[in-house]
Amino acid sequence: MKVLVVDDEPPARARLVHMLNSTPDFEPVGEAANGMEAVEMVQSHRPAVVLMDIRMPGKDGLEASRHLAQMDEPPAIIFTTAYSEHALEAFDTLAVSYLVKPIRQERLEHALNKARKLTQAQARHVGHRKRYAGA
Amino acid sequence: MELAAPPVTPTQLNLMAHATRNTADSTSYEANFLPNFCSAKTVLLAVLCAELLAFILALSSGADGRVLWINLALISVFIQWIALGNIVVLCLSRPQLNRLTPLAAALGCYGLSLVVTLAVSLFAVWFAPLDLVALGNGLTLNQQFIQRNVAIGAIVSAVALRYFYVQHQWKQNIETEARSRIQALQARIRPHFLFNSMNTIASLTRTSPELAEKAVEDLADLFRGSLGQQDNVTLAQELEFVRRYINIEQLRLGDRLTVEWHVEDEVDTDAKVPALILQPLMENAIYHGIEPLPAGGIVNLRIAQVKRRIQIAIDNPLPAGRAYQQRSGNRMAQDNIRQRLKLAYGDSTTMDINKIDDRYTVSFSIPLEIRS
Repeated sequence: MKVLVVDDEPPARARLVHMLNSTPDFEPVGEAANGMEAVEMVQSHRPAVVLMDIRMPGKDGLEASRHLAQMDEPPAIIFTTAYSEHALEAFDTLAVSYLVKPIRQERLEHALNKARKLTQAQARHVGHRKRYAGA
Repeated sequence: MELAAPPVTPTQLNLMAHATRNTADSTSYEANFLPNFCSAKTVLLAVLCAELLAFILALSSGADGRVLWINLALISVFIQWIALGNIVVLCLSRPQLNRLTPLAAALGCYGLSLVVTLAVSLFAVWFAPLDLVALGNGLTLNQQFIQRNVAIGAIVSAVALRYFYVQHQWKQNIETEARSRIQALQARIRPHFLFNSMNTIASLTRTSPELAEKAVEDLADLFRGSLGQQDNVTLAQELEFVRRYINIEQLRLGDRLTVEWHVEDEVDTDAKVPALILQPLMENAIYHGIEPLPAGGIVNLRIAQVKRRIQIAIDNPLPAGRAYQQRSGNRMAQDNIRQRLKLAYGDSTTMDINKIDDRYTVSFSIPLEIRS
């Protein structure tokens, strides 16, 4: 599954990319440094999951997520943040999970697997709806 | 009759203080536990209190007109003798009293003041005997006079002891409060900063272990400083602290953060300043001025010295309205610094905030000498 890494801090992105590389079934497809870039890259790369930092300059993670949620097939969003002051707000924007930095490998994997199950369920649901509409 | 104030400072509070202070010298109990009876201020206070007591006693005697004034004069002379006698005795026995535990010293003072009262009363009846006729209860007027004096002395001494105890406690509370306030004001590193730094270090350990090592050292120093016991540090130390903080932020923000130092040569960097007086302002400048900007910006730190005052200014870019307002907590750090400047320098220092064009400037000037 394709994963997009969004964080304004280069070391934070580097770490996530590294962790993704050692997680089977998931591959990083790109990095974005702010919300604006994130939206663009989601449209061009079509990742299944976005690891989204909340606090970023310009368009922040919450805004970008609201934007992404309006897509036809939105990616699953996993928020990452250094400090959990935005937790509730994050869940309002249909986030799958919420990870606090420094992120642990096992928590990341757990969140990614949860996202996968969700997107698969969503895909089935969408498929079912399409069949239903076709009938 | 007895005077108001053998200044004594007893207290269980001190006992407690001693119990917890393991460095306390076991032979000498806190040299400054008793007020200095030999000081002019204490003598003046004792004389004033004694005179007040003389007034009360003269007025309560029920006399009028000329008799009242004569009474007042006689009572005053007598009470002042006792007051000054107490002062002399307590001043002379100060070294001995200081070696006692606070409770023992309090009892000692009490005892001494009663002895002085008794002695002066005895001297008075010897010098000017009253009517020697025995009263119905078998006591002479002289004996009654002495008894009355000692009783009044006992009451007044007890009241004075209580007064000094309460005053001492009050003073200690104020001091403790001020200290804990300073400590609370110091211990404030944004949780965001801590976790972001940890995250940066976690990622650097793999990519560049040396940078990670340096970051851990810087972070350790920052925390040592913010948890530190020191109220005041030299300006040089504080600047070093700011540098360490910037080092860590630089790792995170990379090219987006540029800090320009304009510290003029003539600035006396050995001057003492309250610890953590600059770092929070730098943190503010970066947090509110640089982080919200995708392209980052420049923070200027300017330090100059004019005569005996050090002038400090930090300015940062002012992000467009909304992005700026989103980041709360700006006022908190500023209020914090403002309070600490006040604690350290009184009213001689004010902090100015200026928003000019697209720059936000915080500036203040401090005297070379710190008050506390």
